[in-house]
Amino acid sequence: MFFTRKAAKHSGEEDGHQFGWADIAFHEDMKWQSGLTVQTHATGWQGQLSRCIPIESKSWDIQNNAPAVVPIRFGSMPLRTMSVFFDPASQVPLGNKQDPGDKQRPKTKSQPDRKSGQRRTRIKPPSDIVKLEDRLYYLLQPPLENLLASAELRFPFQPFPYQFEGIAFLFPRESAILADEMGLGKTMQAITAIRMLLLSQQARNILLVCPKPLVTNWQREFQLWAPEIPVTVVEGDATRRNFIWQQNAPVRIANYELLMRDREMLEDSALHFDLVVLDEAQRIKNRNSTTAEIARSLPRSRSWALTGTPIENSVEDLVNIFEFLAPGHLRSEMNIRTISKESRDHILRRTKDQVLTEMPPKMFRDEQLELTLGQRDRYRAAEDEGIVQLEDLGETLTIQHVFELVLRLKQICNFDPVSGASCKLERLEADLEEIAASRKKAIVFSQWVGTLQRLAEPLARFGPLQYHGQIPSARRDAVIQQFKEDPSKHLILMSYGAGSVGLNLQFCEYVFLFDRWWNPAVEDQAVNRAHRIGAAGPVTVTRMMTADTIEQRIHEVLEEKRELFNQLFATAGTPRHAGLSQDEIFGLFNLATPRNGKSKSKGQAA
Amino acid sequence: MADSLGFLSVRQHAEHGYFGGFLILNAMARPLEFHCTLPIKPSRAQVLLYGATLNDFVCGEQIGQALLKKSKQPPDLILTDCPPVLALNHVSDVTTLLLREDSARQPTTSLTTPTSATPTRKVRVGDQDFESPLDLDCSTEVITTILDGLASHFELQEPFQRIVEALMEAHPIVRAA
Repeated sequence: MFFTRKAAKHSGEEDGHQFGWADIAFHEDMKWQSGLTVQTHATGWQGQLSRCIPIESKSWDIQNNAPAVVPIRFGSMPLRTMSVFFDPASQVPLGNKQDPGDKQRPKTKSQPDRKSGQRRTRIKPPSDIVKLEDRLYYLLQPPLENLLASAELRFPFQPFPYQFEGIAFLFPRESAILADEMGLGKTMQAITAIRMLLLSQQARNILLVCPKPLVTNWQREFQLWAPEIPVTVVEGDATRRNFIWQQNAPVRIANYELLMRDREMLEDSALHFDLVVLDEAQRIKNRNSTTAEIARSLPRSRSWALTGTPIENSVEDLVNIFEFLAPGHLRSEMNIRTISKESRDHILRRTKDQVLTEMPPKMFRDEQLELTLGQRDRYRAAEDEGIVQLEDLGETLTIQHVFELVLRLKQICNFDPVSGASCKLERLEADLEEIAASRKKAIVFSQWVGTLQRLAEPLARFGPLQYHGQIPSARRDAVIQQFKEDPSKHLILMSYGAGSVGLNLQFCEYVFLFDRWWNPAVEDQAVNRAHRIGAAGPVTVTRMMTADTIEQRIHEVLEEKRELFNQLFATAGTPRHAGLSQDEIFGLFNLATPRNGKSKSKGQAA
Repeated sequence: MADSLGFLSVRQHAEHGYFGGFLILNAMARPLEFHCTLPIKPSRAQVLLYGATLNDFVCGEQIGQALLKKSKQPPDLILTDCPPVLALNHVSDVTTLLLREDSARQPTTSLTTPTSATPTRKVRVGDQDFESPLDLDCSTEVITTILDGLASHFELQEPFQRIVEALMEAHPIVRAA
């Protein structure tokens, strides 16, 4: 409903009352839309309005009343500091002499270059160093390159950056495994780290244990990389050895066999080593072996292990090496993830693929081929018959019997012994057509000379050359030269034995493994004939294997090992010598290992 | 030959405040002393009243001075990669020069380098550029003598990386980027 209102103010006189200043009365006339006017009057509180309000007055003297001041003082801020002082006698000085060249060098404007941004390797404290002062001790050291440059240390060759990293890894660690792939210079890295320990007086008495054939190599390497360090080889008769053990020598080299002979001598003496280095540390992978027991019993402050294969057969190998480094740190019952995590700070592993970045890529192509019908029949018959014969041998069964059957089956996988048919040859021919058409060159590897000779005729149109044990040594260089220079020769047929080492065939971009070797390391060496520094381009490696045969089973076992290795080290490297163990070889035919079987792996034997 | 050379750096963390580190090296770039502060945060009143000069006050006059007082062997020269640390010149007799940090080399961390609004002037010694406060009377001859005493491999930017790593090691709370 809508209405209009009209307010009216009434004076006191109108109502006959005496009002003060607030004497106000009013009414509202509200007119409804219907035309009805309603008058409303304010009531109830008008009496309050009519009272006089008491008013008091005060005065302030503004001039004399100063405002209050709140002081905010800015003195020193509450600072707490922490200090570390470095004792010049015990830090990583490596000698405190200034580079003698500095004094002779004229002080020219452009020299020295204090702005050079060259690569710098920092020494990082290992995770098991807990005390902050100790961690800062390492963190505040200059880069390794500067440390070495400032000391009296000279190198015959400039170390690679990854080698500096290896030295920086070893130097601060009390327990460490340097597990670089073979050929990356573990020896040099260990020697330089030893050199730093000696010069910084953190070690005075170091024992290096290696296989006997490597003793002279270590002597030579020490002479090359650290000629100032006196090295004593523990050798000679018992009296002489006892004398050597009792002497103070910065570095002693002993071989594993000798360590076993001198066990009592070592136990009886009060010897304590600041550092024990085990070269080829896979020697102690068997926890119960005498070698492992003696290594673990050596009194020492630091323990380093050098090996390209911290795992040969199982994680147990690594656990047992850790029993030497840090007893109890790893346990067999740990899962792979835990072992990987727990060992990470103690292991440094690099492969050539990782550190030699100038190398072109290497691509693997696994060709699963179906046997021809004839091959399949012959293969099944041979396998069934062979397994029966093996089972009949009972306790007289040896690993050699199993090898013979494996080799027989692998030969059938190459060629049908009756018809000569070969699924691998068919595939190889097809690939070689393309390679020859693009004027490229290829290497075909086999473990049998007979297979290579058999391949030569059907592949004649590709101009195959042969390089194996039946080629006289005097002719071999000429074969390689012809292969390199003759554009009509697209193919060289090589045996693993003759062609896997010492050849530079980096002009080849294709490698075929016609049959597989027992040990991936040998295959890698073969492949590395083409894939090496100076390679023209990417190298394609075709690994031929026949489906549902012994070849595939061997491949799977080896791949499992490679996978295990990769899980632990998070690298794509191949475990050297990671061949088949005795149990695995018997397991190829679901045979139990006889109780009299000798513990030896085919990979090691091969 | 220089007996020692100081490297003083202050870094700031958004949450935890200012961290200072002071590394004293010998002429071979080997460490002699290291001092660092626990993190400090200026009060709200200081932030308001110091205004644009807050970083100079905190980094140079407070952190810088406190760290320098801790040293057993005060260095002949202090280099900093943090511009406000130049204010240390106003409260100390040891000359402090700024060596602008190489941004390409800075590791990715949650720590930043405080800035300063105070103008500087360039001081060129050999082929190396430094900066100093406008009112600092520093002799390039003295600086040249000190730098000439350093080993040839001594890189002047490098120690700041050590300080930052040490600060992160000493204060793990700031390690996350």
